[in-house]
Amino acid sequence: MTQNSKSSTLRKTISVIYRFIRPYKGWVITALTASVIAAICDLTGVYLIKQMIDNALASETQQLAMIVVLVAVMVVAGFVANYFLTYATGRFGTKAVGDMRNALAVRLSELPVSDVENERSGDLVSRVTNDVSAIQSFISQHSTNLIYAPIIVVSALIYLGSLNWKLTLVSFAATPIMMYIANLISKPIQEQSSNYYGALAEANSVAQEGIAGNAITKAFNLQKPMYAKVEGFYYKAMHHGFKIAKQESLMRPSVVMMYELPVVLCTIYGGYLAVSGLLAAGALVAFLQMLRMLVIQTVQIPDLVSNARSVAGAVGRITDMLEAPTERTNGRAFTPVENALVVIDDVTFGYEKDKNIIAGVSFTLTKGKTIALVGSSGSGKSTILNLLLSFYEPQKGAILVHGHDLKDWNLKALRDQFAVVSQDTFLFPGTIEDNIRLGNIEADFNQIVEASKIAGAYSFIQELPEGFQTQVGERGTVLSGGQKQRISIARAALKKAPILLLDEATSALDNESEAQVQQALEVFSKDHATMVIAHRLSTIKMADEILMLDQGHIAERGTHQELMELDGLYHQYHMENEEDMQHV
Amino acid sequence: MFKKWNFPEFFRMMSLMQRQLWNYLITLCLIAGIYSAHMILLAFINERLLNGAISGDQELLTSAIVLTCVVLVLACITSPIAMYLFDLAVHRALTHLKLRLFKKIQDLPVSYLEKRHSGDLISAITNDVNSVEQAYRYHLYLLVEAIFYGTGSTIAMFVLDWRLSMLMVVLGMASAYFTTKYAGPLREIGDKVQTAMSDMTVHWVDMVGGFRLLKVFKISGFVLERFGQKNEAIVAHNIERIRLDSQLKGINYLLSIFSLIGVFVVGSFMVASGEIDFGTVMGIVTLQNGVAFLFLNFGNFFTNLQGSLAGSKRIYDILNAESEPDHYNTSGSSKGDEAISLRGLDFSYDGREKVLQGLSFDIRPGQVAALVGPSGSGKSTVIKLLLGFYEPTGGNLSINGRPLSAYTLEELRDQIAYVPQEAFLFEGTIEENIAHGRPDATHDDVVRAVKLANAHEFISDMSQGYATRVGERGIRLSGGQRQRIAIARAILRDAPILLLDEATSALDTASEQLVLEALQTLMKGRTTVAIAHRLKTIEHADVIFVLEKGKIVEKGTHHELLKQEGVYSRLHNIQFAESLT
Repeated sequence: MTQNSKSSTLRKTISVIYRFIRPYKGWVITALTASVIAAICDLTGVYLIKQMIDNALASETQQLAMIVVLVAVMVVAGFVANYFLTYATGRFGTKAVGDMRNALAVRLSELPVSDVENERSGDLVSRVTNDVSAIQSFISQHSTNLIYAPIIVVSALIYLGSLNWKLTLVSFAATPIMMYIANLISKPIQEQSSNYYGALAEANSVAQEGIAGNAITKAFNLQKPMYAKVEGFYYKAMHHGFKIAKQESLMRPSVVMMYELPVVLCTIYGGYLAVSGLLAAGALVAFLQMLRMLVIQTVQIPDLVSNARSVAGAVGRITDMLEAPTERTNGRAFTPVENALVVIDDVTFGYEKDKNIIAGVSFTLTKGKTIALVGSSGSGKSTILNLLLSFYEPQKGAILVHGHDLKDWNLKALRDQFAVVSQDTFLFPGTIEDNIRLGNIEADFNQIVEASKIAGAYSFIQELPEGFQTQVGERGTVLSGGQKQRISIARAALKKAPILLLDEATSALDNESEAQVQQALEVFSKDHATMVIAHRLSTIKMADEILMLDQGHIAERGTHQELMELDGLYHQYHMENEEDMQHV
Repeated sequence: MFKKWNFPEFFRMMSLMQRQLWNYLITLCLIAGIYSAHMILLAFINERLLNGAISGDQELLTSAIVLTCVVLVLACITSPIAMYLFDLAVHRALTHLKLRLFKKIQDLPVSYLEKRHSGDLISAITNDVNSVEQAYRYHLYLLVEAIFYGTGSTIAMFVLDWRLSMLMVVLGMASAYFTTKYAGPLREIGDKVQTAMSDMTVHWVDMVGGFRLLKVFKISGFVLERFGQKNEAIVAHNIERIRLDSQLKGINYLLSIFSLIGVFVVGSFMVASGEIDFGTVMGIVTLQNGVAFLFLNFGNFFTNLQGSLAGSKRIYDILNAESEPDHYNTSGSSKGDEAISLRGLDFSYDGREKVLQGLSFDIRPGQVAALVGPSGSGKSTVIKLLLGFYEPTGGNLSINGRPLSAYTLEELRDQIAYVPQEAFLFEGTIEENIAHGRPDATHDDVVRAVKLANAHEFISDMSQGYATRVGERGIRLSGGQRQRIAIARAILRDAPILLLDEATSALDTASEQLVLEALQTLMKGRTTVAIAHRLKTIEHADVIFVLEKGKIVEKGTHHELLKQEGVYSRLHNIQFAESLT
């Protein structure tokens, strides 16, 4: 069973790697050919040494000169083979891995929002960095060894056997035993070293916390107990380190034996054979040289195995992503209607089973009207937004856009109907102009300026030394939260979609600029249907209808005036929030 | 080669080992010595073996065999012991270094810690110590081994035959020359690959971070194209690196094959003309590894060491930073029995902008004083000065009638129980965290404090009660729970002065009520200085100081201040009006 699953993951690993290196068949074949030639050269070298010694001892200078010519040919061939081996392997490895990264990026862009947001972003990043790098280094460092090593081992054994099979047997007699012993002793090391690194990581995190909590440590005079705690953890890690050192030193003799015993046995028995005239001196030297080559190859095997194993893990994680289900691409586009752009009818939804975030929510969004969603955090406001954009599908009820159920829509066409300004105003690295243009790639500069004016962003952009060409994002100019928000509003304005969704879009603006943006948005929303999520009274007040959400239900609905007179949840909520907002 | 390298920095790095230095150096030399002796003896064994085989000399052969066995047995016994002792020395040295750093960081003044990200400091203990470990464990190890093995081999080689040895030395130097020649360009292109990689990673992270934008706006194609360009750059740089790499591999192949087969070729002709015996050739071939090893590692050592030296410099920067002083020099301001008394107190973080300007006030024992004012008015700075986190730049300060200079910082902090704005808890159990208030407290003491802090109920409801682990920085608890544990910690501390820094600002209404009740208990019989945003929470204070731009603009009780119709009453009216809209 386990054997089966092991071999199936191996097959999968190979088939995935094969899929990516197939376009570079030429280089793969070059690398394989080069590795065969390199192996042959290495073997020939030993053979030529033997011939040289035998001829030199026989004083056959003529023959010797012939061999020197052969040596020269071999050196040139070996040089070319080694050059191309490194070059070709590196080349197809790099190219294949580049394709892999592109494939991952394409797949990422096709995944559903729910999958990407449920995954920890660190995990997603490590796919394209650590996992892909592990595969690259395996391909360029170890893959040709899979060809080279077996050729060397098999032909060396055949050659040595043909020279003297008894000596071959004797030389390697003890090797399996030593390998077994070394393996046996090394077994606990794996666990010990994971203990060691675990303890070290723990100690580091305790130390980190000690540093982060320095103010408390000082305020409570806790330096001594804190130090004692950290010391305890580091000592614990150190003692795990000692255990590894002990185990490794126990293992050491058998490792030395693994390297040296074949040579020692060959020295003893081969020397005896040579002195008795049963083995030529050249053959003895060939034996000694080739034994070294063999030992080096055998010693590398465990390394190769563990490397292959970790690469199989990396390949597995990458395949998981490449094979993850994408968002649906079926459905069609429908023409916009004049009224009732969005109808939400008795919708129920929860991210987890049996845990409804919203239940039985119904409302209609009409052209020229604004609906505000109000409620404490966790009441389901943002969830409604997620459902509208079909990032998630409702479990019950229906959502109609332009009179057609979301299920019949093509997702891209559907999302074209919305302009969204969300809570987190994400800017991509690039210029401000680039970032606004994301709303409509084909827009010309005038349209971008127009949109930035609507968003109240034009004046501050003008004041930046490089204006619209200012670099923003991770490595660019640091913009304030309010400035970022205005850029994302401009982006949404540029999109000119019939439905406008604002999720706390003006929360980071100061009162004055908020009033400006608000005014612009009011004009803008005349021929749009608008849904806003907001805390601020000024934003909510202008809505034609306010929906007060409480634990996923619409608890109250009406205009600001109506709801204040109702003296219910909205009234109470309102008072609490206004007090919070006041920075004293 | 030597220009880039500075010896003082290197010796400084070595001295970080402190007491372990000699253990380390001795075991290091032992390991290298054993290995080199083993390898060099192998050459003489091979010489005898081959000469014995050629001439059929039984005696030579026997001596070779005996020597082989002796060397093997010695290597198997001595090298594990030396390696074990070496490992112990390195582990000890590094552990002590980490602890020294941690202790030093603990003792650094708050000003130093607030200027640097805590991630930078922990990185000294992890990354920088690791880079020093690289030097101890590998770079220096390889250097010493290269010196022992290399010089030993070279000498042994010249003893065997000087003519062939000259050839080997020339080949070794050529190999070192090419390796160093390629090292620069290879490192350069390696850096380029790294930069391209991180560029690509940034774009990937942005795709994940801006994933909703990707879906809502029609920009997948655009973003993917940009990602593709970055990816293309990695591939291009990598191929350039591979080109250089394969050239170097080819050259190294040539040199190594020359020093193996080349020696046999030259040797064979010399043997044929009777100038040398084959045993000697074989001996030299065996030794050539050592010579190559010397040249290669000697060249690499200096480049490899750079990273470790940079790490050790950062470590020294921390170890040499000035610690928090034992006490401050601020003189006293009162001869009376005020619990806290400030006279003309000035303070500035950067020496230019004054955060506090001539601040004066008195708080009598048992009084509750509140600090009110807009953010940036200096409220939190007052708390930090009282905790001794910073030294006042001017003016006088007395605590319990004694000048600040009369207290060591430890004594000063013993007078104070502090509830910070965000309750910082340490990974560990709830009980451990509360006991931080007074490390010698019994379990009953802890329970009593917890009950007063309104926390007993929720702690008892947890399946593991007081033994519940709070998680890193207390993340497994809610904000209100953390705050009540911080209050219990302060209650247990039982200090005469209580400092509250907006202790309830992060809480929802329900838990705020519980925390406020707990605070009432805590304030009883203690001198309290409280900062609050919500004026409601400090209406009952004995005295309220209103701060603006580092000065006190109004003071009095709630009612007095309302009557004055100044800043306080304005603030109050705004909050009150908002609550009625």
